[in-house]
Amino acid sequence: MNIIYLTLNTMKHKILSMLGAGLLILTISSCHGENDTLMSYNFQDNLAFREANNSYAGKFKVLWDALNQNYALWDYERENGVDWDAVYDEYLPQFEALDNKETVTDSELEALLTKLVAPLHDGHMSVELRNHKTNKIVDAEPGEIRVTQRPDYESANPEHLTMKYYLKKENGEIVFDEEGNPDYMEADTRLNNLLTVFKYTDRQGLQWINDSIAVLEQLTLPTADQVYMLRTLKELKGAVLNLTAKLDDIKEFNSLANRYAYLSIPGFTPIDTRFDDYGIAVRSALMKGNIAYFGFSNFNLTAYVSEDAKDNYFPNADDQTLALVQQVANVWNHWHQNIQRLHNNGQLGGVIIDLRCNGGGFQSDYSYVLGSLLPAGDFTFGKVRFKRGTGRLDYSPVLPLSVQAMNTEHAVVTAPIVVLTNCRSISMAEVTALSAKVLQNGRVIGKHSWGGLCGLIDNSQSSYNYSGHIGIKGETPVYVYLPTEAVMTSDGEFLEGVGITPDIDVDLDLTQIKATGKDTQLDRALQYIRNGN
Amino acid sequence: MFFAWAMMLSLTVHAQWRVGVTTGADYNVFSMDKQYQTDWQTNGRWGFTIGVTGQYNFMDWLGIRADLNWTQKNYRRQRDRVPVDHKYYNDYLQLPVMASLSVGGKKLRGFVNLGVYGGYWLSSHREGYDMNSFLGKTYSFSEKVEFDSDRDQRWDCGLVGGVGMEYHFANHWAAQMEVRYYYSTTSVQKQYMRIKDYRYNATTAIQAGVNYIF
Repeated sequence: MNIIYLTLNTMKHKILSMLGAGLLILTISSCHGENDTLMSYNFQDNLAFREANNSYAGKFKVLWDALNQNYALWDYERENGVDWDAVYDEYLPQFEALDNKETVTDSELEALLTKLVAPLHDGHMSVELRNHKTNKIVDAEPGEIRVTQRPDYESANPEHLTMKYYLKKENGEIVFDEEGNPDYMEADTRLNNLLTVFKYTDRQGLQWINDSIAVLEQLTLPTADQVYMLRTLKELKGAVLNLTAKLDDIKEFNSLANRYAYLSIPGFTPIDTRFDDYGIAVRSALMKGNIAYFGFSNFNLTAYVSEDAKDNYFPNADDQTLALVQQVANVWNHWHQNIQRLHNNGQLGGVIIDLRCNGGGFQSDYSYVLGSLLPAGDFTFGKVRFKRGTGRLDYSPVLPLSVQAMNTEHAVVTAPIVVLTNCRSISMAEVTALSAKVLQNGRVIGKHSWGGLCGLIDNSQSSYNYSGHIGIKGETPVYVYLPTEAVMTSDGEFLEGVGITPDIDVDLDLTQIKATGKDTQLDRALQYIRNGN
Repeated sequence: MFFAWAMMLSLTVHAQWRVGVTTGADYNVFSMDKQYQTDWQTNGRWGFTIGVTGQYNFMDWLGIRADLNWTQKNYRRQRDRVPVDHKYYNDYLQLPVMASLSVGGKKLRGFVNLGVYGGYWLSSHREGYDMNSFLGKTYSFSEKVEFDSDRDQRWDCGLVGGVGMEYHFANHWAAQMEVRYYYSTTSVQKQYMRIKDYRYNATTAIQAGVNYIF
């Protein structure tokens, strides 16, 4: 009996022990932490942006959260001393204080926003907040804040980059043909230039209007039609005189061109507004020593020289637009054909790609510029990674940073290649310069570039990466133009906010270029190619 | 006093040491909140576990067991919408300490292990492919994951439980089969942001072992 009791007692102990342990597990199994709920700010989402509509603190929280989730450089920022959590603690009370004020001026909001984003290193980032008390948008760009403080910023002005000194035959820099024509071509389809052409071309556009007004005003006994014409031309002149190259103004210009088409004013035809997106200035020259020079304002060449350019970028274009597109294509072709011809004849002295004040653009342009000098196929020269999660430090693996060289038959250039940069060489201009640095025959000459290499795609692709733009420009109370990827050198070094260091650092002598047009940076590139040092 | 003395005597009477080795496969499930990133799929993956074990039995049905094992806690993250596939291999050194309760006869016994474990994340590696949406190209990769001291919680602890069978196939020797479950209560990610984001491993191991019983 005792034995049976002891056995039962032992069994009871075992069962109770197991039950107790099981209960312990069930109790502790609820000890997982609870996550915060996050929202996507890539689109116009009323719920995500609701608090930001009428609250400065709400705007700040959206901005902080969205950058926390989408910005691809947090480890780099940490290395540079940015503590994003501390930023929250420091700035939220300041934005909350704005909510307690009767009036908040745009400059007041802009000053606070500038102070907030200035320490960030991304060179593309542009932050916009809608001031709900004034209904105006204020913005801040960390890259611009940083670059405008550089000593070389003043000299980095695209207006300085003319070839006027070099186009003088007596200076002996550009090759001239037997008829005395320089081996030089240029074209400019930017809205600003097209408007300038309208305003300042002799016997065209505004000058034609001025001339006609002058003639009509000279008439002592004008007819009724002439009086009407004079009044109409004066009205028109008043309307077009103050128009700028902003898109809205160009639309107004086009409206006027259509309304007054019956006047048949030469050079007064609508400007294709697609040039707002795809406008470009290009120039090509053959310099002494058979050095092929090519300079361009931004990476929009694809829209002009790619196989289906006209269909893809300028469908249903009128003759004027097509002529402009062809002009740009001709300039690029001039440069490209010069290189092919000289290389095949063994006469190519070198190539200069002038990326100073180049604002970047299409990645596909690479194949028409530096990529047209390299062997066909992918050219890998760095590393890239994407943001791949909502955590601040969630990144993709490091992938190769490569670009595609020209895939049609072309000469592979072994002559020296110089890429000119300055502090306003941005984005693809910097990517091109970075790739030139790894070429055995490549050199970068000039000044440090802007420091904005990280790539960016429009909102339509944000679901690929869950990063990129924050909000919708002009619609959401917070909008951030923000790259989706982080670019680094092949050694894994980030250059954001730093830029490409030139192999040969040369200042642009402002006094000299203003006085004579002589360009000390271009001269140094020519010297390097001609003398090899 | 008398009770304590009786217990000690009882423990001494049943005291028994054993040591052994274990090995097997494990299946790890990684859990995290994917938030609005709805096309991400996190799937469990198989890995290996191998270790040594020591056990001290106070009574024939109750002992305390400690293992030292190397255990992989692998998982895979993929996306439906774009070609992204990341396979993670994570190596942990673990020390589970468990109460081991057993029932059955002399030859064949069933047992249950219950306890806690502590571990250390030794290394991490990932491979697979990812898409560069700029180039529209997919790249394969295989790389060591560098630990980030702000982000990665390399110390791990949690609960452990297992059930198994033991067969005494020779004098002093026993073979064991066990299904064991490691439930981590430590997020693999430190709360390095003011945003709370916890991520956990839970690992089921199917392991076999041989014990020498002194």
